[in-house]
Amino acid sequence: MAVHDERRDRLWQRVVGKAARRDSTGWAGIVCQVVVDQVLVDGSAISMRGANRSEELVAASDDWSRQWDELQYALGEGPGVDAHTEGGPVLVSDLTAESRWPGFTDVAVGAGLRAVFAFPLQTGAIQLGTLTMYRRRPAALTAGELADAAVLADVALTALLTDIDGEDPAYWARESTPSHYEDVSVATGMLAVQLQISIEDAFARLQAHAFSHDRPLLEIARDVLRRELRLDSPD
Amino acid sequence: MTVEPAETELSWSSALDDVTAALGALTIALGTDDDLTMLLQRVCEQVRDALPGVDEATVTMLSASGSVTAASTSALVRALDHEQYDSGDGPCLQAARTGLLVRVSVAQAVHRWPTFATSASNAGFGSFLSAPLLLDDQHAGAVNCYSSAGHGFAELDVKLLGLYTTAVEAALHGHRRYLHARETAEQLRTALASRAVIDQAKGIVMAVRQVSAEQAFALLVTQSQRDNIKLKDLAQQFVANASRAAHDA
Repeated sequence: MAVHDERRDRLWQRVVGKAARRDSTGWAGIVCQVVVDQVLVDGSAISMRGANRSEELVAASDDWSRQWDELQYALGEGPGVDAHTEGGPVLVSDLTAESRWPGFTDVAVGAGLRAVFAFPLQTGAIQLGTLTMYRRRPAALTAGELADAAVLADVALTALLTDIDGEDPAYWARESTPSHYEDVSVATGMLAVQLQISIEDAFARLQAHAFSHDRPLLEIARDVLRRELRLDSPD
Repeated sequence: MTVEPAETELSWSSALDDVTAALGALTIALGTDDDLTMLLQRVCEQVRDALPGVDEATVTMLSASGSVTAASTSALVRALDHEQYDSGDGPCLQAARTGLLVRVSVAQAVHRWPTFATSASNAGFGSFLSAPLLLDDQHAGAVNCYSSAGHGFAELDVKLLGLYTTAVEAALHGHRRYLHARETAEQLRTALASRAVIDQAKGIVMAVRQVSAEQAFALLVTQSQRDNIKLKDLAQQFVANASRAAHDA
């Protein structure tokens, strides 16, 4: 218990020490940065996960990590998705040997991702989303890194709740801030009307096009919004 | 980058420690309803085992909806608590309401609370000690000790009980923070889901009316005000209509 408290205090100090950045990234963004400094991973991202696939990318340490959370949103599968639904950490030290998420693994391994460690942000009945850590080399977390990672997931939950709460919400948590996936939702609505298909089918159409053209879902959505893409055929 | 004077650095570092401790405590304090019940139960058992004069212990919580015994070491003392709640008065209610310690022997209690004194005496108890829990304007409570001895409780018991009431107060504050956090999280998940639906409805309006995203949103807002319907409910209707049209097509 005492060791755990020391670890917690040390990691909180790292987070609080970067308080000056809170305005631009929120506490959640600071936690992503501290994860990279303390756990020796190449990047990390925090996503909030709600009902019916609704999801929000809250923070990421860099663009490289952001794309992996985005990819999981686009495909509806991946270690973060499972960590959230199963309510426990999902640790993958070598992604090339993984078969649970063929779509995610195919794209991610091709682009150089080798290890993923996803932790649910939860306590009691509260379950908000995930903190996921990404590595370019295939290697498990050491015992010390795993302990730090687990505490940082707790810290991330508090960070998230603090960002939302009170008089001064973080930028990402303000009502006036558009959702990270806004363009995907809007494009889905447009397509549903244009092609006279359901919202679910419209999303699947976007998804299939992104996958078959090996392009990010958000880019496809933006093409649809610029009315440059109609996706009349399912491919 | 300027060199900070040593003194400033020191005060910053000590402020950092304070904040760190507070945040750490917040994280640890988050817990479930079951955690709280278990903790109060443990407090009762520890009070009984650690305080020399105590044979049984309970925790009373007052709220707008009435009084409850949140934890107890036996059904017998739980029933004695409830007798006080039913009659609307008694030492544990007195402590919880006034915020002052109540220490009485059954012989002393007989004039003030005759019913309670008789029941307590029949149950084999001779004295009673109740320490208030100070929470906030809406919430109060007490940790109650029953003793079979008739000589009342010693000063040492009172002092030791103070430790436990502090622990219970801290736990209850932590629990309320947890409940608040749970509520915030629930609102957040709801907002997340309705935001996606509103964005989808925006896309539907853009395609149907051939307007920009801003115009589509303005149209939705106008209609929601005109029809006096929440934006997310209106958006839900648009999405449902679109899917129905797809089905009919």
